[in-house]
Amino acid sequence: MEKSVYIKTAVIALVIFIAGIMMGLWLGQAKVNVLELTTSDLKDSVDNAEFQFALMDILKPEIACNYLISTADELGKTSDELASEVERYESAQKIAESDFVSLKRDYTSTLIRDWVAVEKIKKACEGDYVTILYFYSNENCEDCKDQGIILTYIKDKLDGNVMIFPLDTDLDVSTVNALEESFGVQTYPSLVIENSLYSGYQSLEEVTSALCAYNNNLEICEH
Amino acid sequence: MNLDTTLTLGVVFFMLYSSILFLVIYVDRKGSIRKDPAPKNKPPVTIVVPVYQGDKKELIEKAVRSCLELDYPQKDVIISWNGPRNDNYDFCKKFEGKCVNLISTEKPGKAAGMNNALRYIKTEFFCCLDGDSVFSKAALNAMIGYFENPKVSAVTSAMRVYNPKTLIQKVQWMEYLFAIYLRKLMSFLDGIYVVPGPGSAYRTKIVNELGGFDENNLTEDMEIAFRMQNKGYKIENSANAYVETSAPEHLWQLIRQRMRWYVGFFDNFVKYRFFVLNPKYGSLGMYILPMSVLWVFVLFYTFGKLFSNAAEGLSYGIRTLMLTGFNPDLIWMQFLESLHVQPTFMAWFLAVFVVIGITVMFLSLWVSGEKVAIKKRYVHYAVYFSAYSFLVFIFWAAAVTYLVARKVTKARLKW
Repeated sequence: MEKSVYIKTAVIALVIFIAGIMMGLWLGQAKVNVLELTTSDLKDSVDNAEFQFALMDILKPEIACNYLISTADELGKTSDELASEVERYESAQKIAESDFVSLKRDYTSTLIRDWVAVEKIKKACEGDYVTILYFYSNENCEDCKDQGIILTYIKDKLDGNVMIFPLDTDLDVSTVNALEESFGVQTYPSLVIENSLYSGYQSLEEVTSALCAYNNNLEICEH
Repeated sequence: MNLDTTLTLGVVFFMLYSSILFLVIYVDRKGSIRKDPAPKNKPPVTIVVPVYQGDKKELIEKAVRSCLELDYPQKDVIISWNGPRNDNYDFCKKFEGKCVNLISTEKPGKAAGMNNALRYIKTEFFCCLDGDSVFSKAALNAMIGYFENPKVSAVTSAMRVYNPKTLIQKVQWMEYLFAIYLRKLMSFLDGIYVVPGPGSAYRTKIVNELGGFDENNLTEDMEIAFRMQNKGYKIENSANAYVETSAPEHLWQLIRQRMRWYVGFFDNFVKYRFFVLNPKYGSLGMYILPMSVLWVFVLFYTFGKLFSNAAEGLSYGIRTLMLTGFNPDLIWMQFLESLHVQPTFMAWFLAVFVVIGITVMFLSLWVSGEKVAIKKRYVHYAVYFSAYSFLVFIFWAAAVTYLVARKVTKARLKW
């Protein structure tokens, strides 16, 4: 009986094992598809925002701005949700990483378009939210973890009043590189709060004072 | 795919293979698991009850009584005292009589007691029943038929935990049932490498031929099994030969017991290392021994990973506290975040292992003739499922620590 038992076991174990790997690949692909869909939704929302922006010339500015501010709010929320989904899936153990990398590049470009739209809306309609571009790297950046903690806290505290756009600089996305060059980003982490560069790790006090310098009405500012 | 994922997949395949192997054997041999060969005749058997000063009086009494009450025609009992005497010895005297002899040696250790008894055994077969164990009436009948095959040198019993009261004993209750399942299936591979003290039966001639029990071995019941396997003898198992044995009540006692077992396993593994991957020793050499060692590495790898993940989570929490102060809602958010299961291959395999685990638990109950009784024994099951593998990790960690300390200091712990 002995040999046949070992062979039978090998066949069954292999079938379950391969099924598990296929299942893993399929689940991963399904997850990436969902994330891609959400990214494309975000893209559509950005397109929509740009379209609404074009309406500014025709509609009364107050009316257009009403729409635009709520659109900006939506954009901020969608990108936040997407960011945490992407982060969760990124930290999970995966068999195939390749699909995820292209998704993340697409997602990062969309984030930048999102940021541009939100900035434009803010200028035109005097929105009271603050935007933060967060340049980080997953390689050799111990401070990035701490910076992430600070930003999570800020986001949690200020909810809709702050929009954070985390940009993964390891992906070599051309628009990220262009932004880095234009803001003069040299080290990671680096923050761009309302178009001013803050190089290196910024403590909670530093981020707070930078935000409050811009808008003193925020909940975290001392009034 | 990175190294970490590759290793994880390797561990997963290993665990799949080893758990499925026993399920396959189970299906293959389903008909003969609970069936023992019927004995043509019932030769006289001597039952040796090794006792020492650490045994409890009421258990000695139960042990000896269970021998006399065995549903078996011709049996003698030898109470074999080892080591310095105390009032337990005088207590044993009261059993002396027609079928019960009390013998004694000053040498401490069960092996010494057994070897002393060997000098008095006149029967073709003998049993060993530790002084803290109780035979079921049908046990000897279930075992004796296996000796019709002249190659069989020993038959092991089906051990259950005697009257489990503490949480630690309840975990062991389930563990022992699982061991009944595993031991029976291992016997089909001729892979048994322990002849446990509670209730095993031996062929006297072979034990004498092998020179008796090794008095310098931490686990003499494992050493004799290896010696039997080395000489090409068979060790069988009866899943119907119930023996109830006292299990350690408290965690530290259990750790101490397992340290002795595992260090004993290590010593015997080193002593009989020529078995490993040697086709001459069949499944024991080619599969069971290499896998037993690999299991230890898998255990350490898995728990190492678990601990490092937990440490990472903890350090993230602490960093958050240090950097942003105490924020209950942020902590709650992080906690919720940690509950998210990601749809990866691990989710599938975890589900597979839960199914296998539950199946094996039910099969263990069936093989060991226990009723499921979830309502009555939910604590046993729950504790076993949730904490057992962690306990085994602790035992091995303790054993490895001891082995390293022994290597460094050359000191020997007294058990």
